[in-house]
Amino acid sequence: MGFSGRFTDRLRFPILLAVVTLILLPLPASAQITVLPTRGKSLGSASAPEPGKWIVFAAGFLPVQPVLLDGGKTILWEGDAGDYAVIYLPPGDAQPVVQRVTLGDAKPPDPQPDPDPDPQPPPTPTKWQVAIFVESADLDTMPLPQLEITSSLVFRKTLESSGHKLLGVWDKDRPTTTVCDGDVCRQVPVGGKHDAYWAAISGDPLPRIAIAPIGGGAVQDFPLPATAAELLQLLQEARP
Amino acid sequence: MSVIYTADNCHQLLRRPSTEDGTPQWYPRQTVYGGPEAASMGLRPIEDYPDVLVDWADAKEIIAFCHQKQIFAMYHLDNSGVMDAGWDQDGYGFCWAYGLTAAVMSCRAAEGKSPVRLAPFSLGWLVNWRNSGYYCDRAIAGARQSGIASAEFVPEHTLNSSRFRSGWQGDALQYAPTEWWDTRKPDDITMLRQTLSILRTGRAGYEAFIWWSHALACVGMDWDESQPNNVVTIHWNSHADGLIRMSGSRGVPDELYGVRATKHVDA
Repeated sequence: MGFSGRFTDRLRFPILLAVVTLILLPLPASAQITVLPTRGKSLGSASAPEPGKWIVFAAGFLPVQPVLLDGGKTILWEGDAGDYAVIYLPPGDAQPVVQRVTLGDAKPPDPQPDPDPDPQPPPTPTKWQVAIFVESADLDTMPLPQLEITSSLVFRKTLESSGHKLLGVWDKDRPTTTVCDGDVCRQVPVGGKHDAYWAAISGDPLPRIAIAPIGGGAVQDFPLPATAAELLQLLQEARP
Repeated sequence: MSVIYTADNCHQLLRRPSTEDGTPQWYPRQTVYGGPEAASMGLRPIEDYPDVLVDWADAKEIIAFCHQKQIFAMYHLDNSGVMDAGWDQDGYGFCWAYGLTAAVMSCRAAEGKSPVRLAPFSLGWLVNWRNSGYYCDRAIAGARQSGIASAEFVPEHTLNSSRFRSGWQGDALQYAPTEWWDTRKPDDITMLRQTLSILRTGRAGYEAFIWWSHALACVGMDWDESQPNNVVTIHWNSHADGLIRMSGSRGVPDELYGVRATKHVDA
């Protein structure tokens, strides 16, 4: 589909709503209706306090025949994904109401891949807090490109200038404290503000990184990438 | 480029013993490499996995990479701001405490922990608060057990612990080294290979030299084909002279312990 075709298609529904609204605006009084569903459903519904006349259009001014329920107070219709205009004409002189309802996806999928997609602004990359977990005894077995991630001051400055924050490069062993229940004592980790990071990597093979958005959010963890460039790419592509 | 100290000019580095009774500032280790007592102190032989020692044929490339990417501990220490040219034992026989403290601070920096200047004199309990020399391995065990207090709690060059700020012992527990690599010296090249294996991780070596009766921190290495073994070792000394470079057999430590990890305080 070319640019002009997509443009027209995108404008078609707003034009329908505008035309219908302009036609009906001069009518006096007003009524309220409730429409369902929210985006993502395939069954539409609208209801009003009083029975009235209902008109439903799909995109392209195609009329849709709804099922009337509750003596005309409610309508139901099923249709393809897309936008629908629901017009309710209340009894008497009250002003008609026009509402837009979206079923399924807002736009049905194109049958063919669009060869000329609109350039979309890239989503703003998330800035991450990064914790790196290692078994310190294995640092001497780590390849140099991974040691660049764990130990290079140059890389840390690159990370920082990219807006990310290195929390630390930590040995897997956490300090523990002894907790006793009667005569039975056990060692448990001393808790702290980074518990979620430790929990995320718990039981996973090392080395590993755990990341969470700087503004807060769920912790995700991954095997430590092989190179600094791969880690930066991972941070660029990861989503909260 | 700073002076490279060799067998010919290393006498410039020598200082008179400055302990109370004129005895050395440092004593050779009491534990055996790979022995159970060393293991109980957290000292793990780096040759547990002999295949991971760097091949000396790769040393030039590794050293260049570690400088280019600023991996060596010398960069972390400098960047952390906790060390300066004033790192000075000031005539006290506490090289063993200064070398250990420098190594621990560098490990904390490599771990991305907040920079805190630590106080070597908080280790004075190991020598009963006397101006006395000590052993590297015993000092490691002591620091592992009780930590090293911050300079906020323990003033420099003070052996009277009553002048320490209240709570210094609790403060010290936050800054304890926990895990170490141990090394041995059958010959210079083997020791250099072990040293570079540690330095390439960004960690420092807590080291000592018999010829110098001195302990300090090994923080880097230069490739220099005009020198014996083609390398110059880089050290952070505690004589207010900052980074020094040594080559030849004078530059190869007789003992070296690589600090792998410090206590994680998740406050």
